[in-house]
Amino acid sequence: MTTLLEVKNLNIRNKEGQSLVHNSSFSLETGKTYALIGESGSGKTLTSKAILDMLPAHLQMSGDIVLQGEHLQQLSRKRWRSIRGGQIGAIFQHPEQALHPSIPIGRQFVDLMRSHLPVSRYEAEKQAKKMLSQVLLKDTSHVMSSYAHELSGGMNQRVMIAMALLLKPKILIADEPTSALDVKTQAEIIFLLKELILDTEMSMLFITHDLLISGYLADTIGVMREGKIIEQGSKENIISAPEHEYTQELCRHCSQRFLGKGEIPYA
Amino acid sequence: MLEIQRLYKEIHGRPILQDIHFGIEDGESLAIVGESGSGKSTLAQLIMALKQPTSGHIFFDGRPLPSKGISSYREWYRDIQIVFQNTGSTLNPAMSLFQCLEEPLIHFTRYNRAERKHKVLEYWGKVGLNENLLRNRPGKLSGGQYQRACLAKALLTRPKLLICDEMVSNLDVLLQQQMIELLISIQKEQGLTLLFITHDLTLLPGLCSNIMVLKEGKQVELFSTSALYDEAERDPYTVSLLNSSKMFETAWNQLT
Repeated sequence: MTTLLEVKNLNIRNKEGQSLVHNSSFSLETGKTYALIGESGSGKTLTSKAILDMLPAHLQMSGDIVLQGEHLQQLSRKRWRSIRGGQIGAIFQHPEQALHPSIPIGRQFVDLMRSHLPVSRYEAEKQAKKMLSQVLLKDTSHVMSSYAHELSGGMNQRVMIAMALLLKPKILIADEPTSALDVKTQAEIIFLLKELILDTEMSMLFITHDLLISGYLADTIGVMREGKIIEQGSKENIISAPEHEYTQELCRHCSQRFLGKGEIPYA
Repeated sequence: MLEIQRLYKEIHGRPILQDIHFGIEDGESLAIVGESGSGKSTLAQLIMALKQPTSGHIFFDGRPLPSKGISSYREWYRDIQIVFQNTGSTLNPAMSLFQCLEEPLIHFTRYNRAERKHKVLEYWGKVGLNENLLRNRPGKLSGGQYQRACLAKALLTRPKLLICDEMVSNLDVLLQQQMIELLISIQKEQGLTLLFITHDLTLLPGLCSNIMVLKEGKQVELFSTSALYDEAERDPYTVSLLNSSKMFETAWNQLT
């Protein structure tokens, strides 16, 4: 097993010098999924933005992020263009904000593909359709000619996944991709992600507040709180023997969710 | 208490709700469950008189839905209050939190200044928020605190019916749990009638006594929460909603 991405001693501070992410280190193995769990404001999204070099300008970052021997902070803007999207794909909580509101989905695919690879419009369209059917969207021609606002949240998220996977990235960063979806759609999307990871050699950094989903999807889990990774390890270790008090509380809560089955407290 | 009769709602010629028919008794707690797009939020907006039904009736304590005149709306909102999904857009961002909470008391009651202050502090404490926060503007609050503030505001005028529209859906799991526990304790203390709208069936045991399932604007079934896991009796659609977390559950049980 080889390490694909390594984050070493990542620190993020705001202008006032307040530490938002503190000395966090973790690594992503080829073909594996790392779940970063934490409550809102714990710094998990900032960590993912730091990897994509998309931090807001008023935040200062230090530490080292290495993708297959390349130190990401030292890269030129031109090189970043090919890495972001090309080698690291990303999906976010609100796909309708990530997609262009006034360009049809199909053209966004074509533009993306042609800005990275020397392919014809026809070829790009063909690839896009193939990707869309891979994420289980049925009527691909209809989706290609639609605008983001015409599709439902679940469909948009599938479109985002297809777009992120179009250039066959080595890493997919998924930042709370299902938090805005209802439980049924959430299960479908998570299942799809799991299948895609198994089919390809891709690694995933999955950011969530839900330990239950991580138990299903991840290989390794890191628990983040107040900017620090307080505990990380294989999902088996984290879930069966959590060390930190906060992780224990999360585990307890997850187990309680199924207790209702036998005895419903309301009666 | 609340009665909904043969309710239809069309938007741009597309049916959103079809033939909705149910009632809520005094002190009851009913959950409305459905996927996004099932029409559950439209139903809440209709009950709050924010939209008018295409046909059908809504009665509260025998009174019909208000359509004209400030006084009829005022009476409606004295009895029914709502808490929305946390979008940060319920409370006026330019007012202090104290002003936000005082506002309904100015409109709905004859309390003087001191009494209003006393009431605001009472409910602010009840939802578990720190007094010092009242001087801040709503933007200062975290997601969980914001929802608590909205809940306090909704409860201040002692409504008879409280509607919660996806109130906890944007909160993380532990905060969700705390919010549900808070609602249960307020329910016990005040005898509040509750209409709880959600997409997550697992939140409901302990909170709601009855569940109504909506699918594509139609009522699938209405049943008592105690029969939720009785798969033989449930509609296949309800079972499919319940099963959506099953794969996570199986994985979890293998790990623990």
